[in-house]
Amino acid sequence: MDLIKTVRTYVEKMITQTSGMKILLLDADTTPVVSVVTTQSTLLEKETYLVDRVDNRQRDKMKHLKCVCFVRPTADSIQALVDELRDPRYSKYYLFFSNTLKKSMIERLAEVDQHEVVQEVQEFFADYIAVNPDLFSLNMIAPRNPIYADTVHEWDPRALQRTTEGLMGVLLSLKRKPLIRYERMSAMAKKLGEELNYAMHQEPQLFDLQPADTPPILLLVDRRNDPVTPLLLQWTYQAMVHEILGINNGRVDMSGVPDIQPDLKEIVLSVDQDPFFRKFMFSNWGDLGASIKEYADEYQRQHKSTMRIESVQDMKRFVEEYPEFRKLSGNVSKHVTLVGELYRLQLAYKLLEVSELEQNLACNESHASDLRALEKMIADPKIREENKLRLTLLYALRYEKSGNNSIQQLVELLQHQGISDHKTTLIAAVLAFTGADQRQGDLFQNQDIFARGRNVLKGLKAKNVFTRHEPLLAQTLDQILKGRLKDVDYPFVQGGSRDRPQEVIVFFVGGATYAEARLVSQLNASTPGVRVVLGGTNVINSASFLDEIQDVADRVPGTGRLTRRPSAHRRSGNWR
Amino acid sequence: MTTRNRTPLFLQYRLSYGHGDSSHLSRAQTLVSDAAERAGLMANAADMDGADGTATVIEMSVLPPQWVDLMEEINEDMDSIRSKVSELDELHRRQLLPGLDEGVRYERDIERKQAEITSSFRHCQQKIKRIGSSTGRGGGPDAAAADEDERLGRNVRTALATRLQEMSSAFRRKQTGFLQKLKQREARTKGLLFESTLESGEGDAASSAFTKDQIALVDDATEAIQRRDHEIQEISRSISDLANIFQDLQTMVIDQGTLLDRIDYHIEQVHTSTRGAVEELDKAEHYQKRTRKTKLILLLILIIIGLIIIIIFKPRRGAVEEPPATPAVPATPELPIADRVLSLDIGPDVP
Repeated sequence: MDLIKTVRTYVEKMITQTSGMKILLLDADTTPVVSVVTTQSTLLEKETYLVDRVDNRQRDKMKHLKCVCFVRPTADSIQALVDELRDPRYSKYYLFFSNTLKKSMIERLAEVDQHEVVQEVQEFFADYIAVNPDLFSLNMIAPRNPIYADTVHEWDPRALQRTTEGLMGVLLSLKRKPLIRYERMSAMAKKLGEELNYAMHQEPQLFDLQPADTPPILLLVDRRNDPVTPLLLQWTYQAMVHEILGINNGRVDMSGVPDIQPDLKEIVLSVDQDPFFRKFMFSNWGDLGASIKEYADEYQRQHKSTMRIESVQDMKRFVEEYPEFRKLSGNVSKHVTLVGELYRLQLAYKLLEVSELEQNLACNESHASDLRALEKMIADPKIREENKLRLTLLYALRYEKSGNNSIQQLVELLQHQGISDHKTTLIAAVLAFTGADQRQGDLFQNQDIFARGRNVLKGLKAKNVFTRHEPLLAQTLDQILKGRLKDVDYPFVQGGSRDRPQEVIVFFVGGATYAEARLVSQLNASTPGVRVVLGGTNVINSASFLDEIQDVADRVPGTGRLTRRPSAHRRSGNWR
Repeated sequence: MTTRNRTPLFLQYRLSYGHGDSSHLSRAQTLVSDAAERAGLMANAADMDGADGTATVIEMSVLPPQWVDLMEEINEDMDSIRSKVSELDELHRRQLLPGLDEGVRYERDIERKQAEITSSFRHCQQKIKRIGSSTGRGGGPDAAAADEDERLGRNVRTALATRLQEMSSAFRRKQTGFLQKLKQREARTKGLLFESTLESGEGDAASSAFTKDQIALVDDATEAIQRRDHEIQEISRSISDLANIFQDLQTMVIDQGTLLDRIDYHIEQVHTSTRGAVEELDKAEHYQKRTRKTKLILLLILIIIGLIIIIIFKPRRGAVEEPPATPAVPATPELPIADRVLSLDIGPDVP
């Protein structure tokens, strides 16, 4: 169940099936799918000398090339193909689709293929972006592909279709026919489960797989049940880069870094091709600093020996070691620059202080001291607006139900600091969409005395102040793997099983985080015989999570408005 | 890794749309004509080749670019290099067999093979370079070329360069390995030689002269050393030759793990460059329009000037003509008319 390998095998199969010079045509959806698993040099090696978009109408006629085409079966892409086949530019066409084709689509393509250039029509189910070996994303981002319709309980119809197809792709590419479970409180997870179940039954021959001893589980969970994890600053490499700079299909935009070299303006962080990143993507900040120093030292050593050219011998050695050295040098400068930038931002925006308070808010209950610290932070001009807002959100989520909370005062304080009304309305919106009434389970473990006790114990166990918080998914996975996840809270869409599952695919409606990816990866490494794969409508950070909520809030009038001052005796319904 | 083949269904549909047989005919026809055409061209090219060894260039968008032949040549060359390298391997192995004094036999072979391989590498590299230049129009690796042919050529060149580089580095590694083993052996022979001379020197210390046998032995040994020395120098030279080739190739290959190795980056590049091209075209059109406009304006201005001149000249002509006309023809007949009119006008009023 290695997602990167699976998708890469699909792509390689596509381009090695046909020999000779060829062009690879992709569409907007498949470009990132292919880009994250393979490289230009691999394509060149396989005689694929050109890559282009199928909807680029300005391609030249090149009859000496064959054409391998890999697209999603969307209306746009089919139309582009229809236009292409009417007036073929290349000698032969091999069509690959990332999902099931409707008969009408095949018919339409057959109709326009008057030149009989199409050699093959195949369905290859690489319909998701393989971010890590055990993490996939469907890249659905708020303003362009919103997942919510007008409320957070309803799917945008296009998004629902895309998600269903994406998950079909995951299941088919991994050859799994799972039992589907969903989170009780989430209407969207339920809807998705039903849709997917229906779709699976529509394609019986595709899902005609050998039944496993214990059926794998597809667990559909809702981001709104754990709004805290995406709001926290994580101190592990991959998660931290995504939170602070943003990773977009494995690429990081560094153009905002002061005095950046031109060739480092945009860098690639690939789990697959970058050995340093693969090794340290889940390392925490402290360890990372040490390893990057070691890495740089190694480079220095090699640099010295490589640069010392006194004899013919040295020259020979240089030539031999040069390619390796060059690769190393590129990689070292990339990571040193990246970590350097993170360090700079951490100092400039006092991220350590911010994070400490974040962790306090997420893990411990101590209202008076939290409030004092938060007020101080809000007044601090060095701390960025986003961080102030995030802290206030965490405060609001934790003390939402405690009578004497000061959310209102904090909002005023934020406004006093020049944060726009539009941004502060987010606090009410987050509470309305992901507040305690929307969640199931006890996220903060503060609702009964036993949970509180456990929480205190856990607090004592943790070593590092900045990594105390554990995503809710940790508990859920622990329970499901032990076969203890309650059917009432996580019902099956169809059927049921009391067995302990060996394989679990977790899918987050509303986006997964790299913190959860780390958790899953560590779980896979530490528990033999168990394999968990994580996915989401997107891989989010705090900014994209809040954007998504803001997007819905803007569409629904009144969500972000404060209705009345929170009063001590009202335990709920302060916010509408 | 589920896949589903929809080709049969597609073919069935295609057949049902009826452009099965009709197009088969037309296709066959085009095939025939194509073949005929191609045959002619090939013969032509062969003739030309026979005549002066240059390939003919046919400028047709449907035909593959000129360098495709070159590419095939390079591929063949690489195959031959590969086989030569394995032959050389065999020779190396035999040369290094212990206790073999007749290494001289293989030595020549090895030298020759090495020279051959190195020169094939150089040839290949030169040919690869030509792929870049023959797509031409001055597109270096940095030029943001919108032209697809050029992009294709550049990518082919990169691919070939990468492959050649891999091969050359493997070859170099082999040679270095062989060289090391050779040196070890040389050191051993030297030691042996030294020992044996010492021994013989001690033995005949009194006579302080070498026997003929000993002299022969020393001569043999020096010859061997010289030979080895020569061998080593040869190899070193070939290595440094390769190093040059290598450095040249390095500029052509893609650094792995960089943005340049990303597929989406390349697609974006194409888009920005096509967009750039479109913009340029728009601009060009704009300029053209502007020149057309300016031409029109110029023409209009000219016409206006012309008209003005005419206007200026016409009245003048009139004026020039009039003055002579006025003195020539007495104005008297006109005045009376006015007078008459006046008188006519006044006439009814006054009474």
